[in-house]
Amino acid sequence: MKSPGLLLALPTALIVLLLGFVPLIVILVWSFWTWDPATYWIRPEFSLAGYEAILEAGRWSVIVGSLGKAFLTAAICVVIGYPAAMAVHFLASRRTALLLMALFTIPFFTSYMIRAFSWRLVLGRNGLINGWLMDLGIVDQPLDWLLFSNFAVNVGLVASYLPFVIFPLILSMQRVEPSLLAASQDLGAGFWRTFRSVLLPLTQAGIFAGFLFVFVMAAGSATEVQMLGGAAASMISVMINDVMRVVNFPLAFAISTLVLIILFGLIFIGNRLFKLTSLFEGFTW
Amino acid sequence: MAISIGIDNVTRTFGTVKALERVGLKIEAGEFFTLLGSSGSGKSTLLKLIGGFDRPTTGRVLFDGQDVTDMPANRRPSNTVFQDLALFPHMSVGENVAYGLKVKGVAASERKKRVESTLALVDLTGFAERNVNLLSGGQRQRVALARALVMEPGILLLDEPLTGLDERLRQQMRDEFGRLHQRTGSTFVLVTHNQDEALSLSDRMAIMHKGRLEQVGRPADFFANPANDFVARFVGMERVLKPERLERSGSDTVAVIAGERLVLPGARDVGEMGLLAVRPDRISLANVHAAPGSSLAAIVAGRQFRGRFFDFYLELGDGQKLDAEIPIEFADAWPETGKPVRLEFAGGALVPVPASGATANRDT
Repeated sequence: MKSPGLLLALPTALIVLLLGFVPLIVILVWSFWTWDPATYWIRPEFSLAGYEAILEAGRWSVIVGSLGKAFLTAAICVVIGYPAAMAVHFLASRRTALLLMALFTIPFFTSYMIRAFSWRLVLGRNGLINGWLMDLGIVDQPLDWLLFSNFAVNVGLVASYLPFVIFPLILSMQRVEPSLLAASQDLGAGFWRTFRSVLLPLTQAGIFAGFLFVFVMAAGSATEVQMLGGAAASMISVMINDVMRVVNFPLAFAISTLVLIILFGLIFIGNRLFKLTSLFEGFTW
Repeated sequence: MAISIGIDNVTRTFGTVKALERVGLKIEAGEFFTLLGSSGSGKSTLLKLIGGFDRPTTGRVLFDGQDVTDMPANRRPSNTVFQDLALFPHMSVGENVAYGLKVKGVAASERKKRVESTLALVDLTGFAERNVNLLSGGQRQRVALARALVMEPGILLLDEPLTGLDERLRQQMRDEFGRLHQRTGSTFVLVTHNQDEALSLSDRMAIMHKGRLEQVGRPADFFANPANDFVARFVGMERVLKPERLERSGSDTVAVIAGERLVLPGARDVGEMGLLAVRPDRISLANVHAAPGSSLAAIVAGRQFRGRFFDFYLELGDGQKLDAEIPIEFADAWPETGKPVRLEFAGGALVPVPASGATANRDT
């Protein structure tokens, strides 16, 4: 059977396969090869050395720390993004909604580097916030923990990835019939009750999708931690970069594989629990 | 306890559009009242105002004489069956029905009892655990009804609840509404564009048009005394004739149409702008001995088989068109298309009505 749809999808499918799937296979296979420190190169001999090395030199704690930061970032983004998405969807007129959504994408007009750097100007010892705090007499000394800290990293990450949570949330809210909220109100529920019992459960796919987008990108981020984190701060991607300096492919790929497994696991569980695919049910052919 | 509804001089504007214009209406406690109108007539806007989902621009809404204009929907003693039913898709049938009671803080055991008895009331015994998304259209309809009725509302608002159902189910649910109205004794307000629904269910009804009430009354009034030609057309008297003259003659009214005089016994006086709404089921073939003054000459312009009758398309001498519904057994006696015929008008076949432009109620 000739289907024009399949034919049209073929180029995209090929590109995804070549550029996405093949590298993943390479990563998976090479992670089990042997690294030879003498030649700084790899040999096609089976070895678990890469995976064993994950547990060494504090690498494990970097992975856990990165996932922790990513989790916190994603959670904060959901909490901040949800009311923002509600404002766009429920309060704004169509024109205002479009304008607001356009504004949300503005951060992407500048590079990650510049955005992260600009936070230094805000959070630094002589930055905007310390300046205000001192002008207002709230503190005598500039706050040190504002910059080069986990706090700063999280601020940078939230600022970078917030838009990614807002769009899936708006998408999921658009799928909630307004009459459902009216029905809840009709049956005696006030705003919070309707929010908790109707809106929140019906937008959980959007919440999870947004959470996942941010979590994945924050877990893979490097710039924010390098620009805003303390001297000892590291992230998975920074660590992989360091490992690659000595061309230790198996270790780098072992870390990557582990992270991939964690992320796929998260998507799998999330899809089971929150029916992530329901968010895209409207897109049928 | 049933609650009466007062609509006191309500206007609702959206920008420059007047969805409702100075509407005044009193719906009695326990009444089955229908708001009938086409889309854009303002009937749904009025229902929203009663339910508390919208506020009038000016005017008041009263429940049992108390001003509830500013009371939000969740505090009003009214419940709604929404047009799209608005069943919560993430809840079972039982959870849907229990929702309002749960919000109200009714204890679990009491809740269970009331949900079960209400489900029984709408013929859904044993459906509590079912997934609402897997029910048939009629079953979903019943769940929506049960969800509203379990609250024992003083006022039940039905917003075109039968749209989207097939004809057989519509009939079935229509009967159900009547039965539930009897059982609960609540005030029912139905919004619909279907005149059959309105006529068969209502104690009283209102026909709405362009944000105004054209006529309020018992269903039979709309046929006997349509307020104007718009109402006449809306209740199925689709042909409206314009007589040359309409004059009083003793206790009767005499119409002059296409040069012929026609006596309308006992017809009401409707003044200069009078029109005649035609009831197509009261027209028959006049025999040669027909009394003068009760028949008109016409030409058969065509006919169509309609099941229980033939629809004859007729044209009067002055070009005005009308229809006659002729029972099948009499149809063969009628002349063929293009041939002249004399039409006899039984009592009430022509109902004098004012042109809707002539009444203060319309702005066309």
